[in-house]
Amino acid sequence: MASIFGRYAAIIATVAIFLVLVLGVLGNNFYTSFQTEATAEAVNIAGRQRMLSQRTAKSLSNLNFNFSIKADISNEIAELKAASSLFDRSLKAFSEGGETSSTKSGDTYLEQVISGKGRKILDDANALWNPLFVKLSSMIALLQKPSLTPEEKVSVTRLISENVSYASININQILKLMNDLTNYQEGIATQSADRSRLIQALGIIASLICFAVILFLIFGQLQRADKRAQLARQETKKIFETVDQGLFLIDREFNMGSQHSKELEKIFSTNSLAGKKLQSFISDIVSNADLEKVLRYIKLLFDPHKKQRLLRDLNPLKKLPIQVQENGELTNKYLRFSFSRVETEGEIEGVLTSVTDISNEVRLENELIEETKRNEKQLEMIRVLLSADATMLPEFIKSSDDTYEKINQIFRDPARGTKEFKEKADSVLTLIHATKGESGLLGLSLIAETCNDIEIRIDQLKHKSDISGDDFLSLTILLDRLISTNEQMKSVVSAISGYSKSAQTANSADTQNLIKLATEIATRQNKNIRFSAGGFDLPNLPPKLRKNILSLASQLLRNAISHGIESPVQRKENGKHEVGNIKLALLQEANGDLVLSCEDDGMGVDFEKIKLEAVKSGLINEDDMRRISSKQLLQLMLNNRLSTRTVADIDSGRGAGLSVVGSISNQLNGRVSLQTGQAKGSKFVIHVPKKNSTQSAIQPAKENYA
Amino acid sequence: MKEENLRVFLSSIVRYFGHTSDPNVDVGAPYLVDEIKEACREYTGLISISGEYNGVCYFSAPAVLLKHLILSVGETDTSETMMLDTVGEVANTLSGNARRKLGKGFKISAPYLSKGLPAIETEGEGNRIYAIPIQWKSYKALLGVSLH
Repeated sequence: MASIFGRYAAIIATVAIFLVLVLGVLGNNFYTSFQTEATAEAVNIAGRQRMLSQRTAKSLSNLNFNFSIKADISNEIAELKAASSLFDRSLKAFSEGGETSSTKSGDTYLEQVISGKGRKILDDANALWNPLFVKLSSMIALLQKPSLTPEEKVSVTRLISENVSYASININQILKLMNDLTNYQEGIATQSADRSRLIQALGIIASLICFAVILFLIFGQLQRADKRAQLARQETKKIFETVDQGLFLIDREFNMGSQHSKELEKIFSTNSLAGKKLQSFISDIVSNADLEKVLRYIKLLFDPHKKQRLLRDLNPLKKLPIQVQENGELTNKYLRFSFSRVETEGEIEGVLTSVTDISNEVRLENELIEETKRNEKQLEMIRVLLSADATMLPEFIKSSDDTYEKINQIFRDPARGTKEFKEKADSVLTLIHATKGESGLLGLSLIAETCNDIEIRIDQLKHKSDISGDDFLSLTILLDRLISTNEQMKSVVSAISGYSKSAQTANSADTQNLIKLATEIATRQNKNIRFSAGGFDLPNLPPKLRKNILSLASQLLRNAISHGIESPVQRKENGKHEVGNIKLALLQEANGDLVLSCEDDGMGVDFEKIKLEAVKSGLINEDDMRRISSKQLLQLMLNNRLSTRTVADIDSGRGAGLSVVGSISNQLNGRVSLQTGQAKGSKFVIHVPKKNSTQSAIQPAKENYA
Repeated sequence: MKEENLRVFLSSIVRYFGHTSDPNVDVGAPYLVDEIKEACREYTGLISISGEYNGVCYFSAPAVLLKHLILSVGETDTSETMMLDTVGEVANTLSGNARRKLGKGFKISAPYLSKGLPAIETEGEGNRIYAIPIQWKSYKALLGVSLH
């Protein structure tokens, strides 16, 4: 309040002066009207004095005449008395100030005439009038007596004569003086009127000047206020134009204010935002549920009982993905909305909303996450590769590359109908199972798991009655993942220097890898085993042959643990030690042929179960089942997928293991033999000739436990 | 690549042909290619994808399929322009549906139309293209998707 008074002090003071002046002019008018009235009365009374002097002279003359003829003089006496008394009273009022009869009615007050000229007139008039009035009064007093003594009669006669004589000499002078008095009074009235006009004119001029000053001050003030407002507007405009946030106010009804920052238009790619409802322009970019949340949140901000600090955490629009048209193209952005109350004297008037385009932050954040993920993957890969057999890796990478290419080609080969698609799946299964075995042997669990996923999907696929190409989507995706893993491995392997170890180290590493694989499988299968591997340190084996031998070894090992060795409980029930024994051995004969054997003391191969499974799979009919020899059955197991397990897992159950053994030994022109007896264990022996030929020979050995 | 994303594109194309005179479409097993030119037919309508995802999606078909498709909707103009428009329309439909399903973080370009091998390469090493064979009537087309 004080500041407002201070800011407008000059205007207020000027207005006060203006009012005083106006009141002064009005007061002057009021006073002047009284003055004029009084002056006019004085003029009239002065004029009346002229008339009274003449009436006094005339009455005196008539009285003298009537007295001389002894006629009745009562009227003349009364006339003379009234005229002279009123003249005398009025003359005294002029001379000393006082009341006299008004020319209208009653009495009126006359100011004493004090100015030089007026005083002189009155002094002259009094000098002439007073002796006359004294004698006239004496004369009237005597004449009004009912009877006069002779002396009084003489005295009256003398007084009449003296008065007539005095009057005839002086009455004209008195008349002239009264005339002067009248003129004098008129002069005073004129002066008073002139003064009043002057005062009025000055007052009006002063008022006008004052009014002009007021206008000047008000205009100046307005101009300054306008300038300040304009400056403030310019500043606001500049702020709104340069601030890198979208800023706007919203009221309780969710209406946007008339002003907003330029950035807001840029963010939403529109310039018609002012005055719009908040819902109208964010409904297109947020879900209905989010919109509801926002509106509820803003309502809370308008609730004075809710603490803003606590509400800040509830903001539902901290990272809002939106899509807007920019230069005719759809653009994705991330926005952060923040809301602050705008309060005036404790009242919440609106909510200031700021919108920040955080697309770059989000992009960087995502890139960082991606980079971190990539690094983690690479680290994981390095860890895996460091723990894997480095000498085998390049060969594995190369062979798996070939495998993936083959699988991709299988996918690509045209197929129609469920049968053809199932054949496609079968072909993939054989290839992927071999890769799973090799990756498991090398400790590449990531690849082994992905291969296992593919096997699971193929297994599911094979149980479907109707298969089409889109059922292969997941397989292609997993293949893509395997190829990516291979690419990562390639890049990591090439990045790691000195990963190559000596052949000797590699060979002993083969044994270690087999032990590791056996331990892993046994742990997964809850089997207790005693495992020994020997002969895998053979020098000078070509890498490809070594890879194949190890692949065979890993499949046989997997088969022995999963199918051969019983669970500890079962072994106890069968009177065996709860720890099963597995021996894996590689021998090189004198002629250079290789002999790989895998022997276990498990439950042996259940040919009857295998036969039933073969019938179930449609590989043989029931008649064949009765006739089929063990040799033929082994051939079936090596050339087809047969499994006696009801539940498949990462290690076995899909019958692919022995088919991989068959496939590799075929490639190596090897011979597979099997010795087995129920509850006595099994021994697989694979004979690989030094010179491989294209023919394969599969020869089951005699069941020496039977 | 997520399977559900791939299915969005595949179901779009199946739905597109579902509105033609012969709604049956045979889908082949998807396979991987490194470059678009390894999996394309005579006419290709391609859309670049950016934003939350990056990559391409395209529909590539032989002229005979496109002519049949044009005639099946009552049009008689089977000019080259019309065939290019048709592959563009299919590509647009693909991306439109994908944007609805995959959300707003899906920025698409205007269709790139080409006769013969498209002069466009996918960005980034290791970003393979999923080529999904589509057979409509006896004509073989391809849906290509690379999204990462």
